[in-house]
Amino acid sequence: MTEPKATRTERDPLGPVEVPADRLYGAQTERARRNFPLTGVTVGQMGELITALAQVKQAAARVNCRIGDLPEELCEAIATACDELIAGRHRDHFPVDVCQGGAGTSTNMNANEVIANRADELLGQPRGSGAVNANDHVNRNQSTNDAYATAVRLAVHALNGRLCAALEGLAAAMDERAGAFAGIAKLGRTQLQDAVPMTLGQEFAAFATTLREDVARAGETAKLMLEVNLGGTAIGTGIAASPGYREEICAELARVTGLPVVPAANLIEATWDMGAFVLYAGMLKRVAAKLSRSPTTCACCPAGPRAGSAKSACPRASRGPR
Amino acid sequence: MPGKVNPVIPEAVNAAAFRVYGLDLTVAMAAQGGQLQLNAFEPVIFWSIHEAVHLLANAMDMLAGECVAGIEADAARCHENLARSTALATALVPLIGYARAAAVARRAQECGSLAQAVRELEPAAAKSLAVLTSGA
Repeated sequence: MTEPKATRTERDPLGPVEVPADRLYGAQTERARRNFPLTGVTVGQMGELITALAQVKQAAARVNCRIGDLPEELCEAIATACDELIAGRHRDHFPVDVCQGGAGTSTNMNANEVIANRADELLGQPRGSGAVNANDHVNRNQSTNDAYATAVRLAVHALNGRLCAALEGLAAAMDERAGAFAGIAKLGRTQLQDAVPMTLGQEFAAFATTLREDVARAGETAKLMLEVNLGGTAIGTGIAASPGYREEICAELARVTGLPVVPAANLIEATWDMGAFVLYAGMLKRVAAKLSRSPTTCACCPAGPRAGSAKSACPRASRGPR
Repeated sequence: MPGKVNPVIPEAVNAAAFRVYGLDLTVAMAAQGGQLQLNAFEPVIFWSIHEAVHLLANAMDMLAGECVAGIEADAARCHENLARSTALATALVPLIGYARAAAVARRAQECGSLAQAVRELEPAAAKSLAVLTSGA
């Protein structure tokens, strides 16, 4: 009785690569895993991105099937594999480091290979059989430069939901205390000097207001992420994509995601333009600046408790090093 | 330092914010680093935004749950600080003008009580001050 082999041989244009037999990824993922031993943090830990990639791949498979580029049986297997990824499965089959060279090719190929090998299994074939091919079937009519780029935008849109939930939660906590402190008069201060009276409730209500303003601004900025370059392939010209694909792919992605995804007005510009990310990162800086501003944080705690102008106590926040 | 307690939760929020500024700079540099028909640095852009969003969101959850929700006001201390201050002198400006209000504030700093200073220097305004402080 021989032990089952610990690896299987996968191939890419550079030749054969041994990959662990229990992994769904293939040759290009294994090469990337070895190429970038940088942070130890894997793309599989960025769940929003894996979900978004699976949504892009599923939308592409559906359109490819409709225009005759993909047999229905393969389309259904790919779509089911994508549903499994969207449901949170197989995340540990994405070992590529988050810090990587290439415009996301390693991450895109990781997704293509996992989906292809899982689709093989769903069709009753062994992993790596090639019944479903990562490039010719899963990545059909796409390039990393439009598929990955689109997934990144969808993932940032999803991340904004997490940000806004936290902003709302903190604003609600501030509002609750604002109500409790409505009748407590205190010294308002400017330049750290005594200024004019206000209530502690007014001070906390203002914190809640500033956080809610950021929910609105972040939402406006995140909307820019729904303009995508999918269908543009490598540089936005749509080279190597079949007739009919570009016209349908964004509408299909909108159906898959339930979001009003639209094609960018100029796919060539949209392939290289990073302006929306600069704006969104600036938005995050704005949140950080408000959050870190000393009254929001330090005023929550007494400066003292005897020295300084203690005006409130924050017992649970005041644990020092033990 | 026995008995010393530190504002460690707000400090951790500060630390998270400092890191977010660095991630914002990373995104800007990656955006300008693109060449010709592509920007090959989209992975570091996403990695940075992903880290920044989770840091900020976790920091806000922590601040809400571990700090804001636990805050109790020391109402007596607030009132004492206000009463000992010259803060209400500003409220007298529409009644007696800036220069006379400043004189009242200076006198209050000497005698330790704005109410006493008003009674001494601006007895006609004392009633108005009482109305202002009754809400305090």
